[in-house]
Amino acid sequence: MAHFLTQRLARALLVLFGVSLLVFILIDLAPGEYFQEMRLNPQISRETVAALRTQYGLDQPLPVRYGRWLRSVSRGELGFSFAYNSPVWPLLKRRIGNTLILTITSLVCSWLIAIPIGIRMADRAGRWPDRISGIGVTFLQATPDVLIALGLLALALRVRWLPTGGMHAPDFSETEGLGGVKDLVLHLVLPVLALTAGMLPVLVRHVRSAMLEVLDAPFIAAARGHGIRRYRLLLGYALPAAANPLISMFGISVGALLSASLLIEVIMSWPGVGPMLLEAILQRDPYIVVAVVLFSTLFLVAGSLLGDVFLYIADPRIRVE
Amino acid sequence: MPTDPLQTGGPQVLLRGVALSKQYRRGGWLSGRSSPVAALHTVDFTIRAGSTLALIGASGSGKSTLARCLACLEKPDSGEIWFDGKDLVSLSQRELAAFRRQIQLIFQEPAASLNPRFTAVQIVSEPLLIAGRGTKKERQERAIELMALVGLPAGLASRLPFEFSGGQRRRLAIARALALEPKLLILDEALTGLDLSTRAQISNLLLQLQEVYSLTYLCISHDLDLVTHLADDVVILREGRVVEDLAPDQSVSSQSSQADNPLAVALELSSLPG
Repeated sequence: MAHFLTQRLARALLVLFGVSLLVFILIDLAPGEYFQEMRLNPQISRETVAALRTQYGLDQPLPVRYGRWLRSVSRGELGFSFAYNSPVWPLLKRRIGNTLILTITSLVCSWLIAIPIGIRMADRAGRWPDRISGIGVTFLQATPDVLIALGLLALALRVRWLPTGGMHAPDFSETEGLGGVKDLVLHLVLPVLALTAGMLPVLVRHVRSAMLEVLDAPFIAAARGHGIRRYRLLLGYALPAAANPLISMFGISVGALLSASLLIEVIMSWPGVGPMLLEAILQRDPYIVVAVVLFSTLFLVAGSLLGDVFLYIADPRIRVE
Repeated sequence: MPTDPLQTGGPQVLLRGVALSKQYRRGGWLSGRSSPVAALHTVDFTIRAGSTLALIGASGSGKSTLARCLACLEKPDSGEIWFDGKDLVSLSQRELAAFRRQIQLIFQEPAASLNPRFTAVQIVSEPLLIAGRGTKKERQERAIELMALVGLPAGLASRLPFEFSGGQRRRLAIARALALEPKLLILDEALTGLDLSTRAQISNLLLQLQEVYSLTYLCISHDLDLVTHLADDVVILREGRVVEDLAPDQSVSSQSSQADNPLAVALELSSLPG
């Protein structure tokens, strides 16, 4: 297991290195930079702009800038934000926490809902429960995430049961304890619903098809021949046997959900990395963009690594091999 | 609970199928055109206790459907399956539980019929666990005994199915089928795909087990040699219908050549397109 983990971690580090280099090159290729707008301002002289570019190292060639950025990563700063005039990590860490709260809650909800629905659909394949759920799943899949989020916001505004934006009520104080948790949960409901609704169709379809394939297997028929009860057959035999593709899907869903959450955060004013990334792209604040992309990659890699570990634990064949 | 009105032979007849029919529907619900395909059409047959009935026929003749109906994995659309004096078709799921354990099916693909995540000992003790018999230790001991009975040493107990050879997987499937002490074993192409020597070993093992445990076999096969070796009676299916029901004295063992052999001729006829 230690060898397996070391191997995967080494690969993950290599991926992160490659992605950071690629993002640097892409940002360099993109037209415009943070100080470009200053040039349009007649009150700021060309010399001042040139001095600022020199001060922040933008006049240096790409390899030098990348080397400096790597050194700042080793200091735990992840570069420097021109817009905030501050190292990136202190700006990002609180927002990453907020994004993780949203994403992990949505991930858990999506899988907890998708697994029983997918199992039920596979168990009743071709019958009415399967067909009706199939129609619902197709409808959700065909609806863009933005539309789902806007629809939920419109509904929430009409019924006024839930807060429609942010992470806490305006009068919220950090020391509220249980009240604070309740406030957070209430604010989580809408973005989590939007993210779950976006993710659910893909997961349900995967669970259904993985279960269908296994339910047809002769070893399941053999267990039925031994008189096993239906729920035990589904949960104790078929679900573990169908787990491999689902665990791989879990790894992918972690990354996919983060991408979706960036959009939902912007729409629902969730103070995560999504709005910060959008702002940084518009302002051409490159190191924040690099840091957010790296965080996104790290999340994807961590999801994939977690998937591999789950596979290793769940499937004795992988351990034997 | 109804009892078999035609149970004339006393304990001699173990299982009797009466007018068994089964249809599947082909086509999608959206197209609105689903057509029925008859897999079994009023099939009648009898299996004598302690004997081996060979069920032969071309692909798609309904052999496996019949096997699945007899193993209570599927319900026939009509007809009766009399087993030990009870009509299995009319029993409730709860009543059926006791009977289905007495009829065990050994599948066509042994590799796929063994849970890939279970070790050999878990696979063989699985039926006992499902039936709620014994403690974990007792079940494991019994599984090791059964493995030894089919020629698998205890040293292989912790291996996974993919670590076994084709012949060993068949033995494992047989050991598992014996765990619940069934009266009837259905062997669905159970020896297909094995080399000659392994096939001979397994068929000899089956004959030994039959003698020791007074087992009854329903042997589904394409293989005339195997039928010659194992079967006492032969039923030939063609497109879901019984076309021949050969008595033991008409069976293959007494025939000198393939051309004179009614079984070979009937099998050849059954494989011709309808």
